[in-house]
Formats: sequence, structure tokens, C-alpha cells
Amino acid sequence: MYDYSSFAVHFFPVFKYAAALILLFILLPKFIILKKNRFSDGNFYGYLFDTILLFIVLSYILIFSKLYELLAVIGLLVILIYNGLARKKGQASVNEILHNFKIWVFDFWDGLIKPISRKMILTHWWERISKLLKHNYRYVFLAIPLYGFAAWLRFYDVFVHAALPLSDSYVTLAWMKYINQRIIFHDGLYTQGFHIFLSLLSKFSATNPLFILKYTGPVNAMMIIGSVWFFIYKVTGSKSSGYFGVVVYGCTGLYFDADFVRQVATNSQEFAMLFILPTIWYLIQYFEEKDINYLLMAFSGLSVIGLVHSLIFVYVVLLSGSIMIARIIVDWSKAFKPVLMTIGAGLIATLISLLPIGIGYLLGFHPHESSLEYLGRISERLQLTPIGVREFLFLIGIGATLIFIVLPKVEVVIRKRLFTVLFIFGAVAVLYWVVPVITQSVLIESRKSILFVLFLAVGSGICHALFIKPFERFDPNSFIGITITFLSFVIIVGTLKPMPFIPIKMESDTHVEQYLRINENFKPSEWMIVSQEEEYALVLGTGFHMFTRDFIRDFSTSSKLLKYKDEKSNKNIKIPDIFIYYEKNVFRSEYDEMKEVYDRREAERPNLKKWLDAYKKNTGNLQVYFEDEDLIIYWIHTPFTKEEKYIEIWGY
Amino acid sequence: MEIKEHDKMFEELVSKIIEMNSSPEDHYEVVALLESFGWNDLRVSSNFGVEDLFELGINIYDAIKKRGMVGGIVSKKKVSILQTIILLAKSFLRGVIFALPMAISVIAMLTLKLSLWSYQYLSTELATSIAIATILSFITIGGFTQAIARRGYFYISQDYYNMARKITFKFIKMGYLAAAVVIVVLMLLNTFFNLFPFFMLSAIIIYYLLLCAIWLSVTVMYILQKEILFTALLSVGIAIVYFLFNVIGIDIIFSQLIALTIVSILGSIMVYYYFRKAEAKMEKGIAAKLPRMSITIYSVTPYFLYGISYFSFLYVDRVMAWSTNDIFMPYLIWFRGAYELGLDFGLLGLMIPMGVNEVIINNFVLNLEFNENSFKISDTKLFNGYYFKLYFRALITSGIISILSAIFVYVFVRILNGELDHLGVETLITSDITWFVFQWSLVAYAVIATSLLNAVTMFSLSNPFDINKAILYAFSVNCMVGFLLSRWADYHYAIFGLVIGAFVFLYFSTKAALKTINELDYYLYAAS
Repeated sequence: MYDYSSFAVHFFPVFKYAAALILLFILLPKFIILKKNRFSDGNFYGYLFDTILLFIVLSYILIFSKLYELLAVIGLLVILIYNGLARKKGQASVNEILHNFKIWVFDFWDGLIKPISRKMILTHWWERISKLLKHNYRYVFLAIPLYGFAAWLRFYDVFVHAALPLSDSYVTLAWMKYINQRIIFHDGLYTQGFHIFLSLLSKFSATNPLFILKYTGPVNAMMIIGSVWFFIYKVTGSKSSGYFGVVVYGCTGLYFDADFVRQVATNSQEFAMLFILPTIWYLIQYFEEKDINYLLMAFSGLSVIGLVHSLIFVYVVLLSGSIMIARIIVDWSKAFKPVLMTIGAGLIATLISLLPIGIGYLLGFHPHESSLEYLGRISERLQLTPIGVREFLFLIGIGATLIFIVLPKVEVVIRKRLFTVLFIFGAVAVLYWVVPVITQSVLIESRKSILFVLFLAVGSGICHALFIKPFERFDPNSFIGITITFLSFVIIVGTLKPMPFIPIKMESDTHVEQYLRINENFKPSEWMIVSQEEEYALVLGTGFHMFTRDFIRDFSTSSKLLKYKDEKSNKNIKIPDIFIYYEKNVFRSEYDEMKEVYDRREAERPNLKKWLDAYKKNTGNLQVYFEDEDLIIYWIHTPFTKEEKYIEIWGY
Repeated sequence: MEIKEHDKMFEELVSKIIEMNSSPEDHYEVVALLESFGWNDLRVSSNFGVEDLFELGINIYDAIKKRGMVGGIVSKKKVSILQTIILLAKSFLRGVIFALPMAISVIAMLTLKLSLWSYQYLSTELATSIAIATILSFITIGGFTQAIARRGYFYISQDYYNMARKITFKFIKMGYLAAAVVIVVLMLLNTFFNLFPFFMLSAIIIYYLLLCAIWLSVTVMYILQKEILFTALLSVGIAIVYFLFNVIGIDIIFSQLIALTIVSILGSIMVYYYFRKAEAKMEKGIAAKLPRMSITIYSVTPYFLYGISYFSFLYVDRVMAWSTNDIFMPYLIWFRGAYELGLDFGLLGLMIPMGVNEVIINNFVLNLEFNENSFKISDTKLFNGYYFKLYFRALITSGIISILSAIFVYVFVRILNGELDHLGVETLITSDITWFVFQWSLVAYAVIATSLLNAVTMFSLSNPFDINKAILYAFSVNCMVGFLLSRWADYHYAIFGLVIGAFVFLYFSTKAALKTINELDYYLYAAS
């Protein structure tokens, strides 16, 4: 019995996944990306952008040059770390480090070095943690239930259900695995930055890519929630208002957007979304402070988005345009140069984003057909979206921003900032109400809520900030703001009673659990699963996969060692362990468009049964590997002979 | 009677001093040498009836003067042709004997289909595990091997067996500690990166540990000049594997592990026994202390690093080839026998050049010892120029011998393979990839053999730094070329990493060696 939801199944994958994330995105950037104050002044996202951009660009280069693999990535990282150290501290310092190390070795052998005690390390860390808690304990206690609840909604499915969420996950998984094998644009030209990111994670965490896929979706979602907090806090200067935005975006379940269920699945769109608000913020900050570093961070963010998801890229370009217009209005004389610089940076980011696709096109790849078809799909029935609860709340957010702007005693810089945000709201509103009606684009209509709900949360945060503004003087520690946020959380959760997101599945959990069991117990490359389409992406990269229909059609039942029916071909397949999925009851998902496929599978069922019966009768070499009320997995075992092993090892 | 005894001892001491330095500057230098032999005021007073070391120093210095200062006027000792042949043959055999265990292993594989740590019908997983264990053991112990050879041999050459034992065993302990650290790191990496399944990891660790133990014992046998002993131990080990596997029917892995354990334990016992035996013969009363460990570490570090770099250089092309993801790679590294076999046969090409190199270097050093005092300080340029030409000739000789050896091995294997084919017997090489790797590895090993002459020469002149640079460059080039070609062409093109790396090693080592020889007077002074 394989229990996917057990602690034992997830312990190592979670540990490795977390370690890979920390290694790649926290520890390594320390040596490679040369910025100061990584965790303060809101630079963390800047670091993350630079790191992800660097990894994606390097990986693209390695993939195009057919050198993409763990050894090459490690080699490049070593060079980058050395280079980073040398640039940060100077070559002389690097030599000094080496020299000091030598002296340390000699001193060690002379007994002059005393090992650092565990107590010293613990004291050091405890000091750091207590310092952090001392200043932020109120927010830490507020954040834990909020983020905890948001995480429960998003991680539940990941840890309980083995089957992948939605149909997109299978494509994402397959593309990640293709990139692992240095195959790019397998199904046509499509931005693959996110799949590269997943592939890197899978290489460094060395765990089944299925776990990487499953964990990354909710991790992205939590990062998006974090970006909501970050943006509201930066715009309003109130942390508790930021957390109010977290409640609205993270803890309301599917109330504001049924598409939130996508956050459980791992899609490039959601990954790109986590960059939207920080990128926008860095751009706003650039216009405020004219510090080129902020523009560079915004540039990195935009480039990453461009390499990951084209639609989100277009959205962010649109928002950037609204920022520029707002700044030209409020700061005409000072905004001219930053606007030109921003346009320049935007053009370079566009070029970077298009480069892989361009190279792919020159190499003869064709555009990804289904995406292209979806992009061009036009409806003639799209109308103006009526004002419902969420639209109403969005408009309240705009109103609150307006009130904030005209409030007396608001600093000029905040006033201008809010004016800029107001323009962003305007752009989002146009995108939500106007663009789908004008273009009649099905794509835009289906994705119009992305920015809308994000800025609905931002608007809520601004409302919160406006509400607590009068109490600022009496409440320097923001207890009122925190209390309002917490009470709102309790009321919202108590009223809406959000439940964990459970997306549509394309197969039963058992199918995936049994694949995991086979994958764990049999040597890679020495087993094959015969089943329907879904297992292809799961099996890819470790075992072999064959569609049930091809199996029945091509293979003879007379020979123990599977032989093709076509006598002339005289071929057989030599795989020691073959597992054949026989569905007693064909699994049917909620997708209407899959009906035909399920009917075909239904028709294949008796033919497979006939094949299995005949093979068992002729050879006797058929065992049952697993059985429950819906599925039987048959097992054909034909081990390698001594001679075959000899040929495998010595090459003849 | 007592006087006779006293005179005999005095004469022996004079000869010993001359042996160390045929023309001491003054009696102080004689006293310094006497002290280095362990003599003190008390001992000289009781043995020679003099007041202190200085008085004995003056007496000995006078005696040397009476004999006539050896330097400058003593010409080369006359050595008969027979003696020369014996001397050369001895050197040659000492060089060749290194390859004897390898030769026995190859013969065992060809005839018995098994060896101490290989078996023709192993699964690829186990072959991969053993290959990784072997490579790791060489790289880990390579540094300690050099350190032991350098420091242990240094004391043995002065008959300080007790100090040699102490320092050797200290390095052995450090070797085991390093092996333990490697195992822990490997286990951690495996936990994190899931490199290999548990059974493969277990095999890697066990084989690795036993091989490390064996390499450490072998090194000590080498410095004690018991090279043949290891060959004997290896043969015993193979016999045990054969007996356990073919006669008793124990699984091949367990048979090998039992044999490896026996060989490693026997090796350690032998090493201990021979040290004790040598110590018993040592002059009594000498109980000098070892220098501070930091000083020892400082002095052997360059050799230690060379050991690690050298084995890394020798094996990195295999790592590049076996990690090429051109087939369905189940793990990060996947053993490919066709490549390994090519390299193994290629190694045969090293046997003769290694022997010849030993002869050349012995001849060179002996020549130096005879001649270094024949030149005046004003003739330094002449002296350096003379040896530059001599060394250059030696290098060319080594190169030619290496090329001839490679050709000979190629022709031999080709003919043998053809003959076996005619006889209908299983041939040595069938795969095209094996042929390809074999041919190019012969080129690489021929070049490496010549480069090694440079390395040994530099070591004998205590100038390992430039050789370390040369081997590091070679290693980097090997990595880079092997990686790129194995990924862009085919996995077996990693052999060009070794070939081009070998040429880089030859270029930089030759440059360094010739530069050193050009400043020979300085290096001789520094090494003395």
C-alpha cells in the first residue's frame, strides 16, 4: 500500500525542495549578486529577480549549446561565485582569504585553534532572532495565522492528493523534464523561463520532478501573497494594512476569483504574477528617488516576466505606461529623463524576453499551436462586466486612494505616489472592463481578473491604511491596525468558511501513487508503464511509457519476451518490468472536451482485457502488481540474462 | 683491542661524514653533521675519549684533510659494464614493478574473468559503484601517498626508521580520517542529491574504504622497498576471490569484499612488521623528535596537492564520459565498460616508459652527485648548461621510448586480438569505442610518461610548485575538453580531454623542468 499523504512520502522531498530553494535563491546570490542589504529596504525581491534572471539566461545558453546539466550549472556557479568574490572584495582579498586559510590549517595542527562551540553559534542566532522579534513580534503573531491559513488553502491538495491538478500540470511537468534532457520548445515556441526554473530546482533538489511541480504552485501563490503585503506596505507605509491585503487576497478562498484554484497547479502565469507588484513598486521608487538601482531591479523583474509569461509581460508594460503617464503629470520636469530611461530599459527587457523565441524560430521551431489558437480566439458575445461585490470593492479601493490623496497633512511624496497608484488602478479598470469588450478576445476575457483581484487586495489595503490614519498619533505601535486586520481575518474566515482548493484532476490518485511506487522500487530505465496519456509526463525521464492503444495494436501475445506482431520487423522490446494499467472503471474528469477521449478509452478496455488473457494463457508470465476497485496493474517480468548484462556493461 | 675498536669507529665516522659531504667547509660543519647523526658530548667523550663534539669535529676535519678533500679532485668512480647493467636493470625493474599488479589484474580478468575488485559479469550498477569507489580512493589517498613517500622516505634514507614509522602512521591515520570525511560528505550528498540507491552507495563506501586501506599499505611497502610484496598480496587476494566464488560459490561481491579485507589487513600487518624489523636494526640511542606537525604539513603540502591533482587528472575524463547523458541515464554517473577497457589496455603502454624513466632519473641524480663538486662556483653557467643538455637528451630519450612503447603495445594488442579471433576464442577488444579509446589513450599515456619524468626530476630537486601548476592546467583542460566533446560529439570523445590535457602537462612541465635545470646550482643548494 502506497500512501501519498503520509509524512514519510513527503519528508525528504520537502526537505530537499526547501534546501534547493534556499541554496539557489538565498545562499548563492549572496556571492553572485553584488547588492547591499539583501533583506532590508525591500531589496529582497530585487535579489530574487537578478538571481532568477541570471539562472534563466545561463540555462538558455546551456540548453541551446546542448550543455545543460547539473555538472555544467555547478561549474558555472563556481566561476560566478569566484568572480563575485573577487569583484566584491578584490582579487587581493581572495588571495588573502586563501592565505588565511593556510595559516588556519597550520595553526590547527599546532593546536592553536579552538573549535567554535555550539553554544556560541546558538547564542549568535538567538541574538539575531530575538532582535528581529523585539521589533516585529506584533506582526509576527499576526502573520502566522494569516499566512498559515492561506498556506492551508493552497497546500492541502498538494500533500493529500497524488493526482496532478488541472490538465496544464501534465504539460508543465513534461516540459520541465524535456528541459532536463536539454530539449527546448518540444511542442513549439513558448516562453520557457518558468520551466527552466523548475528544471533547475529539480536538478538541485534531486527529487522526483512530480514533487517539484506539486510544491511550486502553492509556493508561487504564497509568494504572490507576500508581494501583495510588500506593495501595500511600501505604498502606505503601514505593515498592518499590508496584512489586511493578505487577508483579502490570501484568506478568502475562491470568493473573489474561482481561478484561484490555479494557484494549486503550477503554471508559468502564476509564477510571473509574483513579480508584478514588486516590479511596479521598484519602478515607482525609481521615479521617486531617481536611483538607477531601482530601475535596474524593475528591469530585472520585467525581463524575468518576459521570459516566463508573455501575457503578464504585456500587463506589466501597460502598468508601467500608466506609471510613466502619472509621473509626467505630477512631475513633468523631473520625470522626463526617468521616462526615457524606463522606455530604454523596457525595450532591452523586451529584447531579452524575445531573444530565446527568436533564436528558436531561427532554429526552425514553430509557434506553440494551441497557445497561438487560444491567443487568436475571438468571441462575439463579450459584454461589459456588471458591478458585483468584487467590482464594488475594487471601486471602493479607488475611492479610498482618491480620498488619501486629498487628505490634508499627507506628505507630497506619498500624495504623488498614491496618484501614481490611482493611474495603475485606472489601467487595471480599463483592462477589466474595456479591453475585453473592444477586442472580444477570449484570452483577455479569461485572464482579466489576474490584475483586477491583485489590485482589489491593494485597494483594500489602502482603505485600511486610510481608516487607521487618524489613529496614527495615538497608536504608534499600530495596535488598532493590527486588531482590525485580525478581526477582519476572523470575520471573513468565519463568514466565507473557505475550504482548501481542490482543482480538477485528470486521473485518480491511485494511478499516480502506483507510478510513484514503481518508480521507487525499480531501477530507472528498466521498467515501462502501459497506460493512457496522463502517465506519459509522469514516466518521462525515468522509465518508458506506451499508450494502451499502441500496445494492443503492436504486440503479439504469443511470446514471453514482448515481440512486435509484424514478423518482418523481428523486433522485440527488452525491458525487464512492464506494468499494464487496466482500468475497471474508466476515470472521467469534469472537462467536457475530454468526453470523446474517455469514450475511446472505454472502447479500448475489452481489447486490453482480451490481450492480457491471451498473453497469460500463452506464456503464464503475468502477475497482478496492484488491484483496487477501479484499477488493476498487471506485471510482466523478464529479467536480463547474463549475456545481456555483459553486453550492457562492456558495450558488445 | 679497545684502541683498534676505537680507530675502526673513528674511520667509519669519517667515511660517513664524507658520504654526507665530501668537502666540509670547516670543523663546525663536521660538528653539525655529527649532531645530526645523534652524537653528543657525553657519547663522544665515552666512545672516543675526547672532551666534546668540537674536539672530535676538529679530529675528523683533519682526517678528511689528510685524505685530501674529496671534492674537486675525486673523479667519477669507475663502474664496470656489468655493474652498470645490473644497476640499470635494477632501476628499470623498480620502475616496471609498479605496473606488475596491474598486469596481474589484467591477466586474471582475461583468464579467470575476475580480479580483486572487478568481475566481467557484474551488473552495471555494481560496476559503476566499484569504478566510483576506485576513482575516489585514488584521489583521496593520492595526496597521502605523496606525503608518505616524501616524508617517510626522507627519514628512511637516513636510517631513522622510528621517525619514518611515526610520520608514516600519522599520515595513514590522516588518510583514514580523510576517507571518513569523504564518506560522510558522500552520504550527505546522496541524501540531498539522491545520486545512487542505497545498495550502490553501500557498495561504493565499502569498496572505497578497503581500497583506501590497500593504497596506504602499498605506499608504505614502496618506501620500504617491498614492492614485490604487494604483487604477491594481490595474487593471494585474487586466489581467495576465485576460491570463494568459483569453488565455494559465495556471491562475487562478498567474495571480493572478504578478499579485499584480508589483503588490506595483511598489508597493514606486513607494513607494521617490516617497520619494526627495520627499527630493530637501527642504531640504538637515536631518539630524535619529529618536527612540529605544522612544519611537516607545510613541507609536504605541495606534494600532497600534486597527489590529489595527478589522480584527478588521470580520472576526470572517465567522469566526463560516464556522466554524459546520451543514453537513458539512471544516475549521475553510469559506468561504460567499452571506455574503461580502452583505457585499461592503454595503460599497458606506461609499463616500459616507467621503467626507463626510473633508469634515466637514477642516472641523472647519480651523475649529479658525482659531478656537483667537480665544478667551481665560477663555472655555474657551464655546470647548468651541461645538465640542461643532458636533461634535454634524457627527455627526448624518454619521449622516444614512450612512443615506441605505445606502438609496441598497439601492435601487440592488435595481433593478439586477431589471433584470438582466428582461434575462435573471445577477443580482447570488440567494440569500436574500445579501439578508439585504446588508440588515443596510448597517445595520452605516452605523453604523460614523458611528463612524469619532468615531475620526478622537479621533485628530486625539491621544486614541486611549477609541476603543481602544470598538472592543474592539465586537469582543467582535461575537464573542459572532455566535457565539451563528450556532450557535443559522443561520450567516448572525452578521451581527447586526456590527450590534450596530457600535452598541456608535457608543455608546462617541460618548461618548468628546463627552467629549473637552467638554475640547477640554486636548486641543488636549496635542496641540500
